[in-house]
Amino acid sequence: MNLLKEPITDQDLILKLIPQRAPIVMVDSLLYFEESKVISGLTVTEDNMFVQNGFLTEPGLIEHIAQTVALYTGYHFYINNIPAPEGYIGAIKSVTIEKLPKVNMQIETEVEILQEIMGVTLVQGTTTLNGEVIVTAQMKTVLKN
Amino acid sequence: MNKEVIIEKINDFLIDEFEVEAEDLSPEANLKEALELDSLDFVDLVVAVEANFGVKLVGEDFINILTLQDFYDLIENKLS
Repeated sequence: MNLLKEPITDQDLILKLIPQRAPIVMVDSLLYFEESKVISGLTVTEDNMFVQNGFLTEPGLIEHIAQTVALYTGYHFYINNIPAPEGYIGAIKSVTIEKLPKVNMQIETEVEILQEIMGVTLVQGTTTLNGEVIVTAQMKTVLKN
Repeated sequence: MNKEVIIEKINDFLIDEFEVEAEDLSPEANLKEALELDSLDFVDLVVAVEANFGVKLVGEDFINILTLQDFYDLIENKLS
């Protein structure tokens, strides 16, 4: 069940939920949130630092998934009135990238939280473009102490 | 599930998931050293335990776990 009353698209609020700052902000909306699942959105802009030749490149897609995890954690902290924690990607495996989105396209990423223990979060991320799955990845993210 | 079955099942998934040799899995072996676990690997251990036994471990469960025998006992206690 979606715990959001409505999607969060206010950029000032998004920046409160994640520790990243420009030019490395790779989520622009929080579309869905529940206890073990989150969906983020990103519209690919020309000035995105991961865009090359009009396409969002592979590192940008991976970073987008990682920041979706940050958004999940940050929103958890936010509703408890605690600042968003810093974290980093600990490991990535089983990555499949089928297509690179073009500039001006909007992608959505669903992250399912598979396990959380000792500050390590294991997630399954799925990125879609117009409903088509373009990226799947399993990732471990780590909260900075 | 008796203790022998639990130990056999644990050893089976440790060999598969963590690519260790069966002879390295002695009860007195240090869990972290035998499996070459780093901080990121514990989550894999938790996933494997949940998949094989339907038991969810939390960080506190590992506080007093030093040896494989401790780990066997932990799972046995969780199942009982």
